[in-house]
Amino acid sequence: MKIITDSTADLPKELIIKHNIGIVPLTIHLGDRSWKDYYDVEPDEYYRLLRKTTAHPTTSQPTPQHFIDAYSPFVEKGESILSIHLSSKLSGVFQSALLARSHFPGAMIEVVDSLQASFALSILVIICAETANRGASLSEVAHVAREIGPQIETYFSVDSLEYLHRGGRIGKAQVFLGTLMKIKPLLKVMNGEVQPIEKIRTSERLLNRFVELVELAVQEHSQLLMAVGESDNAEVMTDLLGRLERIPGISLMFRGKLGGVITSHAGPGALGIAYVKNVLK
Amino acid sequence: MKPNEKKKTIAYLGAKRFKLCILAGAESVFKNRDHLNKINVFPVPDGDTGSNLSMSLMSVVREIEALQDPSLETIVKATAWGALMGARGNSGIIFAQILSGIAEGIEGKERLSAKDVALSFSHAVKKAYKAILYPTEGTILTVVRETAEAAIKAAENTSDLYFLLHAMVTAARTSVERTPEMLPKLKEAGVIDAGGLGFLYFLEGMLRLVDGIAMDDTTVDNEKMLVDMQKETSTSQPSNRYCTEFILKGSQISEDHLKKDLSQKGDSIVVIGDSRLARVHIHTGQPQKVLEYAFSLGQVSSIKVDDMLTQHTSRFVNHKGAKTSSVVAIVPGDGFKEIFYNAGAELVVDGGATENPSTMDIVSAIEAVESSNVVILPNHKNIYPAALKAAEIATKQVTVLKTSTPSEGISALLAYMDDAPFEENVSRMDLASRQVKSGEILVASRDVTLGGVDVKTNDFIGVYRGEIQCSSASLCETLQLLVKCMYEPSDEIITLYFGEIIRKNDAEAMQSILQQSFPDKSVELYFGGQAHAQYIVSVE
Repeated sequence: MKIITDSTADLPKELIIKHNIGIVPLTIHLGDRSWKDYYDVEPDEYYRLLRKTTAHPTTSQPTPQHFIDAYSPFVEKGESILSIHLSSKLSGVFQSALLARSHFPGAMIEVVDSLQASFALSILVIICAETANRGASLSEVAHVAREIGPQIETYFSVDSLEYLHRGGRIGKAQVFLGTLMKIKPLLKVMNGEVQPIEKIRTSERLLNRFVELVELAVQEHSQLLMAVGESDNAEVMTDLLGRLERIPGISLMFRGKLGGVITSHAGPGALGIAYVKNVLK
Repeated sequence: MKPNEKKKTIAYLGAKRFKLCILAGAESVFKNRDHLNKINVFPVPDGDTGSNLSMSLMSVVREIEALQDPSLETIVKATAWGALMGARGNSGIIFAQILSGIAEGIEGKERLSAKDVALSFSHAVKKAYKAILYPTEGTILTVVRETAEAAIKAAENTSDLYFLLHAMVTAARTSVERTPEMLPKLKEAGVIDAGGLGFLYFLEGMLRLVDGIAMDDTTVDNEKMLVDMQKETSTSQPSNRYCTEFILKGSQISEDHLKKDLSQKGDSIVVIGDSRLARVHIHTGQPQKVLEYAFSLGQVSSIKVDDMLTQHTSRFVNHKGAKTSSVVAIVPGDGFKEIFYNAGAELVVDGGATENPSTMDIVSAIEAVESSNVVILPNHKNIYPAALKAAEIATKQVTVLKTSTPSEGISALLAYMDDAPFEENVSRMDLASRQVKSGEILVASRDVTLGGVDVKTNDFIGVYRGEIQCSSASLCETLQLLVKCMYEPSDEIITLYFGEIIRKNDAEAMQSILQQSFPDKSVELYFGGQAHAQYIVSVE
């Protein structure tokens, strides 16, 4: 079984190689330049570009043709494909993949809307890869994906809400109070959408809040699978991770970086954590 | 084209058509905005009728765009609500009044016949006359009235909405042309009434839609229009930024008195109702004052206070569920008021060191907010007892947090979450309020030696933890000493809230001096507007 996701999973290279995951990139546009996420621009390089420019980045989803190209070799070999993607409420990636699937009538392709983004999508992809590895069928793995996907929790903080606003990734109706004061907004991915949930003033309190949220989740599930990362905020992430690793019951899947597409919408300076009850034990 | 040459017949107006018509009308007004601005001379030649009408209609467009597959009733209500929310200027408010009157007139209907439209429109016009403080002929009021009269007449002879619309446009046009005859100011300036013309444009937009294209497969390019209109609003900063709405129940409400009293507190006033029940809409800079006044007249309910600057959203979209808790804050000064409203307080009551609100003021606020679970932020130790007493008297579940300064209150408020359970909110807010250190700079009223600090009359004193920590004849020195004594190395933010007698330039100078002393910390400055303290300082 071939597992395919898109570049917004922000899956680290080692894991891509280890599980032989196919990645279909989205495209980043900044000023008059364009890059294929990860293929043309690595996260660190992109942070530098973004910090330097006053232009505002935009992103575009892969076309159905990109997915057709990604699926074809495996369809020809008669291999089944599980294609898991960025929340359909945040992007049209899932739509593109669905359209591509309709080009292969009769082929064994499952397209799953993860309702997640970034590290949460990564976690889901890895869980599916492990499940497939244990001999589950395509429909069984797809079932796992659809069941576990919504259970993954994602919390992240951004330097400012500007990127999310300008990228249109916070619903038009979303009112976030407290904008007169300088704050560090804490956000959550809920039902596939980005929701600002808290207004925090100091970074110390922000980190404590992340820890508190994870502690609550551990109380509930006792064992957690977790992935964390940042965009150009490595020092603070190291601090946060140090505190998180002291909590018993946590298996860190990886510490990663937000890629170009996600950073285009969250901005530099973001911190993110994603976790779910450990279903691999 | 005359109506008898036409081939179309429109038998009814449903949700979809209603929406298209409103969008087409709005677009037509928007296109003619500059012209309307140019000819605006009455009541004041401030050249904003076009912009005001555009903004009022933009709010309508936003509301109805937010709806998915609405029923006629929903869309008409959204239209009315959007108009009331966004109403700006005299013509805008009359327009809003008409749209909300129409909504009342057609309640419960799924489709509108020509007769329904004519009747509800004429009902709306009558209501508009009642709601306006000083109805003046020769304005949009005359135009809508004469249009309504023509509509009623036309509906007696036809059931075709196309014919009806045609008759209305013709009547509106004639009426607009006559406005200079009725209003000398217009004649002097050699113009017709801008508001009336705006209404005509609105109707003409609808007619063009119906004339030009079949109704069912029409789309109006309102995306672009919205974008253009939003540019428009971003430059305007109304001082009466709080759109306040409530229902007043009483025994002898006099609409006239109500309108007159309210007109001193804001604009865009609409009062609809009778002597026992009135629905009130006002744009004000002081929603609390308006509500206090309302409480003095009778029972007040269904209160909505929206900050139009920060909250350009529709309540149709936002109303996912009832709030689990509401926050009432007592604050000194306009700056704090703005900060507290912005940070999510539902109602802010004036009060601080020098001005204590009565227990009843606080009770009224508790009863006025949406949720039946209320958190009170007293923000001063003198107000705490009154707040406790109010909590006892009130019929709701009330928790009074021990915030003794506005900065503690802000800290608490930032921890508040709209959808968290009440108890969780209380404990999070309580915790947050204790994570910030607050001090203040005052002027000594007499010579005294306290805690080893010698203080001379009129010197500045720095107070922290209820004690004088430092004193000096220099404000700057006192502030620096105070911050130093509050500061610990793990702190990240120093916030200054300057009082009403401090000039902004001086406050900014103070901020940069402190920033030099604490180069790797964030030093923030906000206008507090408090009367009592020169500066309120928080360190966290």
